[in-house]
Amino acid sequence: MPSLRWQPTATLLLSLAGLGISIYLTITHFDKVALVCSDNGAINCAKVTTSPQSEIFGIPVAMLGLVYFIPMIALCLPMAWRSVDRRVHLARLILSIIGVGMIIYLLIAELFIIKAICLWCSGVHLITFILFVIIVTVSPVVLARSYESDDTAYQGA
Amino acid sequence: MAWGVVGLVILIIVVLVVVKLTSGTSTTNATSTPVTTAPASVVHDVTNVPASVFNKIGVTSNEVPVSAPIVLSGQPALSLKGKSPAMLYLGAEYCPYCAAERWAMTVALSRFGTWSGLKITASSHTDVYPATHTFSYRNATLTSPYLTFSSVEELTNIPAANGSYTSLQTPTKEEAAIISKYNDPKYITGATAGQVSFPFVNIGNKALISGASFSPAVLSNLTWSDIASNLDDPTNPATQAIVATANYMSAAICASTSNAPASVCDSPGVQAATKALKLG
Repeated sequence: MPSLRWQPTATLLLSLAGLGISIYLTITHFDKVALVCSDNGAINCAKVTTSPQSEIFGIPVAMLGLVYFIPMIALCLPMAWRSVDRRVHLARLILSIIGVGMIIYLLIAELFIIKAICLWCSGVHLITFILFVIIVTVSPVVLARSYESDDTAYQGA
Repeated sequence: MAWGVVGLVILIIVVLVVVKLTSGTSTTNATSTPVTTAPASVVHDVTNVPASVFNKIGVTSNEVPVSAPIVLSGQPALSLKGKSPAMLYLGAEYCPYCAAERWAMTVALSRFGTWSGLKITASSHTDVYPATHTFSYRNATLTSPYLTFSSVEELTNIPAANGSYTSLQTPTKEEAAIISKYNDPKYITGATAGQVSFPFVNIGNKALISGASFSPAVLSNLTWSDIASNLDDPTNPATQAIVATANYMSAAICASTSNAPASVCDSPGVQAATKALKLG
C-alpha cells in the first residue's frame, strides 16, 4: 500500500496559508479604510469585497473562509492523516468537496454578477482548489487504509 | 475515479472562464458619463471657497472621517520638468476614490494658482460609489507662481473589452520614477511595490496621499453643482470633508513653497493642518 509523503505537509501548509488570507480578508471586510483603486480596472476598487455577494445569509464570505480553514488545518495535521478512524478522512474529503463547490459559486459571482475579481480572493480559491485535488486523489488510499485497520481490529476481537 | 472528479471540476472552471471571455461585450455596453467642459459656475464656486469656510472647518470633518496625508521627512524637494517645488497626481477617471480626492485637490490648488481646462465627468457606473460626480484633469493646467502641478489620468471611465477601462494618459519617465519610488511600502503602509494604487499624490516630497482622504459616499447622488454650490456652507458634510482635506493639502504645499503665499499659509485653517501634520 503506497504511503503518503508530501501530501500531509502540503495540505497543512496550504490550509495555514488559506487561513492567513481569510483572516486578512475578514479584517478588510470590516475595516473599509483602504479607499484605493488599482491601476487595472478589472481588479478594482474593493468592488468584490464590498459587493452583496460578499455575504451569504449575512455572514461575510471571508468569515466562511475561516470556518473552512480552521477545521481543515485540524484535519490536515500529521496525527489526523495517520488516524485509523475513517471518519477523520471522510470529514476532510467532504470539507474539501464543500470548499470547491463554494469556489465555483464565488467564481460565478465574480465573473458574471460582480464582474470584477479580487486577487486575494482568487488566492484563497486557488488554495482551496489545490487542497481539493490533493485530498481527493489520496482519499482512496487513506480510506482504504482505515477500512483495513477496522477489519484488522474486528478480526483481532 | 478521483482524477475524474478533479477533471470535472477543472472542466467547470474552464467553461466558466471561456463563457465569460467570449461574452465580454456586456461591460463595453455599460454607460459612462462623458467628459465635458466644467460649467463656469462650478469652476467659480470651487475656486472661490470663502476663507471663512477654510478657517472655520480647519481639519475637522464632523460626519465624514478624513485621513491626513502621509508626512515625509528627509526627502529632497520634488522637481518636475526642472521646476521645483512640484506636485504630482496620478489617477484615473473611472476611479471613485480619485473622484472624491479631485474635489479637495481642485479647491486646494486654486489657492496657489489659476485653473484652466477643467473638465467634469463621473466615476465608473459599475464600480463602488457609482457615477460619483467629479472633475477630470485630462486637459487641466494650473498656472502658479508657487509650484508646478502635473497630473496623469491613466484610464478613462469607458469600459474596455478586457474588463478594465480604456487608456488615456501615460506618466513621463520622470513621473513614473517618482511614482515607483514613493508608491512603496517603505513610505505607504499597505502599498505593494510595483502595483500602483489610485489616487496617488506627491506634494513636494513633503507629503503623500495614497487613496481617497474621505469616502466618496458623502458625494453620492450629488451633482457637480450641488457639491460646488455648497462649498460656502461650513456645516455641509461634503464641504467639511473636501475643505478639511484641502487644508491638509494646502499645509503640505505650503511646506514645500516656504509658506508662500502668506495669505494662505498663515491662515488659521492651514495652520491647524500644519499643526496636525507636525509640519511646522
